[in-house]
Amino acid sequence: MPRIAGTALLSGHGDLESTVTALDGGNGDPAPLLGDPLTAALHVARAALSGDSPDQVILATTKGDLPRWRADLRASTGTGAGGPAWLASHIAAAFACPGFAVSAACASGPLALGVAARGILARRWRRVLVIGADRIDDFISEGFAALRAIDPARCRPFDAHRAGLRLGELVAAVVLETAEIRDGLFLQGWAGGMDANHLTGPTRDGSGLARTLHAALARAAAAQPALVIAHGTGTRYNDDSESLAYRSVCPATPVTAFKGLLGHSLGACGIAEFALASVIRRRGRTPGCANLQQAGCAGAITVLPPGVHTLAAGPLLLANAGFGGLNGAVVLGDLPAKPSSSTTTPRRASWVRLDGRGWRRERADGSAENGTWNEPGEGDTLPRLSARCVLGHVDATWGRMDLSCRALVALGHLLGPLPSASAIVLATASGSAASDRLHDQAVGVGAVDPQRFPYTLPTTPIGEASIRLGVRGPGFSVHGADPQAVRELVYDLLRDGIPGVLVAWIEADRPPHTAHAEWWTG
Amino acid sequence: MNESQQRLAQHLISGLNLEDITPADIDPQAPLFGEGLGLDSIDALELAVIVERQYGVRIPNMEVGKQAFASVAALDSFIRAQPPTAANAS
Repeated sequence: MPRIAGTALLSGHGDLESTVTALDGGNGDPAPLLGDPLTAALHVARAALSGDSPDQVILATTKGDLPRWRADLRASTGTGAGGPAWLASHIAAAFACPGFAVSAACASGPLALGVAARGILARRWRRVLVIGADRIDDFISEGFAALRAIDPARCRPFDAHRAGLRLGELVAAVVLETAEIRDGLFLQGWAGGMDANHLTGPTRDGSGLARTLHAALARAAAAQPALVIAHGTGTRYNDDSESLAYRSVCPATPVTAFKGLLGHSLGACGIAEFALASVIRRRGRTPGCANLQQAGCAGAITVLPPGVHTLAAGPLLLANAGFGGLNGAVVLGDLPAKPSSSTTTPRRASWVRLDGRGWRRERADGSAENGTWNEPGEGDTLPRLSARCVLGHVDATWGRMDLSCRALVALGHLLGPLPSASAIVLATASGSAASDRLHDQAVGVGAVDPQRFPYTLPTTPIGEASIRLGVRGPGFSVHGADPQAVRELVYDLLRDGIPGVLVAWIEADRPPHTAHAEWWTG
Repeated sequence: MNESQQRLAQHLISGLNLEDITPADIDPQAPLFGEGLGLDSIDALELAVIVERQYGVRIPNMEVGKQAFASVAALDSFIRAQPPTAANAS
């Protein structure tokens, strides 16, 4: 376990089979996907489930139903409609089971698969429906354009002349189940990790992603994979960094990438690539890297040219990387994953709460400390949490952070110092709404700020905290899960060998304007 | 800091959201990126937008940006070395 019980995909090129056929055909561009994400998600969910019922839905997404979320932001009564939690709960309602969203920017897919796998190993769930869905509109396209990350010609991952990504919508579903039988394909390994380096750029030497690749292969008890399905966005920095990671981790393994033809589908891409990987492993042949003319990257790796290639035996390694320096990797193979440790007893060592006047920190031994802000907020509303207030000195990159980011960094500082291998989990419903609102106002009127766009993700506070606290374990956000369900995910991480988890609940932008966090160790 | 450097520093502070920093805190000769003021490459992209919006000077790519953005003094000289165009803003 966890055994792959079903997969489905819907892209502008058609269903899973038609999309594989399009990839086999070689070169091409992303095709538009019509329809709202909820309808499309339910369609792929039913196809992947083929009549079975899930007992848990996990949505991998960055923004959910973005046009609906934007309309909600503009409404004075903002209820969070359209956001990740909203979309997850609406998908789950169709199957009468609980559902929440897991986000890790463009690495949402592998992190969501890891959450599902750990819950199955803990025997909390028997059959999990993991959906990848994101809606792409001018909010996204103008943001990436402002970052100068879009190739005006076509997306050419790992090509010497690549000049950026292309966006492409799709939805995908993977059903994972407990299985006593050893027959079939399995999610054999998973890992998350953070660069703790830069908010939008990967580590130049690929070392951040390499650590996550090593961890996923170790979890899978696999030495060398038969194929790497790369993130391959087609930007100069991403592909250089990725090539160096593969060069150091699995230098003999051929590499392919699908974003040339499919485009970058943000939080959905990891689930789509995993669904494609299951077809590829079953038939023993893989499409090469669409639009590649002349491979040219910093790391000397074998990039498969467009066309169909026969695969060696062995597992497939898939990786994704996202804003915040959030990385994820999974291994798909024909062996069940090793069980998690059952001997770890999760222990809440300390916890801290922020309010308008200051903070209060308590420890498991019964001791407690208080602090007051030198610039308090009005009533219980959180103050602006300036750098001087939180760090004790001014900081040139502090001013671009919204209150959610500041609150998570402050919580981390108050609970720290944290071991480098710690995880960060952020539970939030309002997410990046403050930054989203400002970016939304600039879209369509030629006023998009490159500095703002990276903060329009609910996981950006995690990236900021990772960079500022030097924390490099898995990082993801959870949307639409109650506090006890979030703590279950923390216990899963600890039983899976993560030494400590900082888990925070932050609603800085909308009532109840709260921020608190707990530090758990194994 | 001379008057045009002062004005540029003010544009940087408001455009880059440099919270609690005043023009007097910025050494015109100090590096803007890394050690020095401590900006990063996201700020570099924003800085290109600021220079275009405020001065009508386009930074074609980040290779040019890297030279131009070395310090407030360097950026001020870079902007003043550009040929004046009808589209130039204040």
